[in-house]
Amino acid sequence: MLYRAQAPKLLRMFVRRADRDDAHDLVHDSFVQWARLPEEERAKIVNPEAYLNAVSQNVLRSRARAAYHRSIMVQDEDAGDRASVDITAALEARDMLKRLDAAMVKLDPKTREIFMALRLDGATYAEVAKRTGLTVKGVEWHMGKALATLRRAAGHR
Amino acid sequence: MSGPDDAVARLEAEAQQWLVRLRGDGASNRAAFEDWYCASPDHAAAYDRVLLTWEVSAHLTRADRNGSARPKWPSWRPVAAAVAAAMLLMVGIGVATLAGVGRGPANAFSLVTKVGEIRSDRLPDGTRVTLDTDSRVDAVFTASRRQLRLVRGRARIAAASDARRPMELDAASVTVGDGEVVDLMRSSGLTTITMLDGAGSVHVGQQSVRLSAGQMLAVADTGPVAAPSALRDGDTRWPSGMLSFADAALAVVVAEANRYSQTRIALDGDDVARLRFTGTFRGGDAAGLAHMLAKGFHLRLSRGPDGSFILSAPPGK
Repeated sequence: MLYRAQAPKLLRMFVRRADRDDAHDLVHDSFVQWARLPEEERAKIVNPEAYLNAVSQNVLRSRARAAYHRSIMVQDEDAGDRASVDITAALEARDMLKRLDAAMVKLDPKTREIFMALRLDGATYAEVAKRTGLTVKGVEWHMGKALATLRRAAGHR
Repeated sequence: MSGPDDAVARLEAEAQQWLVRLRGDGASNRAAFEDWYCASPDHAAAYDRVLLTWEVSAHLTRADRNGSARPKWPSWRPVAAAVAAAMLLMVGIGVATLAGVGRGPANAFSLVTKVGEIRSDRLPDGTRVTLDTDSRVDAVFTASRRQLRLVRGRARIAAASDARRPMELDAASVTVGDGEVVDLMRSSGLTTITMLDGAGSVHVGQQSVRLSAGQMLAVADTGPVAAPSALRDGDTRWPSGMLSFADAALAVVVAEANRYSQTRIALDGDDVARLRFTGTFRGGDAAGLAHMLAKGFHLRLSRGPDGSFILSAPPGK
């Protein structure tokens, strides 16, 4: 099977993406936090603008930390996360995976193998370097190249 | 007009470089990365796009390219890498024997997290264990059985199915017989079992309770077993590290946040403790939370001798 598009994890990424991809959502998130405060709490806020700024910095910091943790995961299947899945997200996920798959075929075979070892086998740069005889910098270069190709193939979203 | 597109492409190139760096050495690049990410919502958006691509690429397979879906490298390698990266504490065995779990003789090992840490590991049988802050799970795998015992804290266990070796989950006096995705939590004499997927039976002494997906059960170390109750919205989100509250007393919010941080937040006075908080934040950032609460509720923020943050009502109130 070419892909496992039904994998709930994959679908969840898109659901998650859908409500945070846009920079404007930051403002939205902050506003929602403010709006959810009980009325008497809201009344206590003398300077709503400063409050919203503080909240939106906080939201951005939270996102940065979440992005960090997602970035360093060895295998990123947070099994059991029960976010609901909608059909649009499912189709989008499958679509992107198809495009990535097509892009992989066009990659230089060496870059492809290195990326696959890093991505699918969870190998470290040092391990791949040792295996291929490249330097760690060289492995990083291949990784960057594969990422750039995939990113372009993934489309504007 | 290519101006805006160029800017986007440049940011995405930067974002890719950050991901490459973080994959190589996350810890020493973390602070600089988070500053870059927060410097502008455009940085954040560019990085999120790159990260999404990276995450989706995990679902690519090799099947159509070299005729085999099997990884070329041993399948335990991701676990070994995780062990090295996260300095997983192994009791009694080395990494090499962990690789043998599932085939060889009895294996015992422990998974441990520090305060503030949330980590997810895949065991060689395919079972995924996610540990919450300050938690510990002891595992015993033999040819005929798999046992995971929660010693403290909270764990989410997504058990790989293995008809010959049923998974047994234990915490204090409780044993969960089956079930696919289960949260187990130990907290001050109480064991909480949350069934996220599948169904399972929970055994406490002679009693047995059937738990279906979406239900949770609390079992006191002393006393009777309550009836299962339905999950609430925020009950299952802890692996994300985000703490969500809806109209919760500040005392509750702070107690939960303190579980994730060495630096504690203290509330001075009942009036402060009774304030109601609604919102979401990431656990582990006591300073950020203390400042946000001080600002949002107009409280006075001071530091205790041990470095803790103290929130009190402003003077004249």
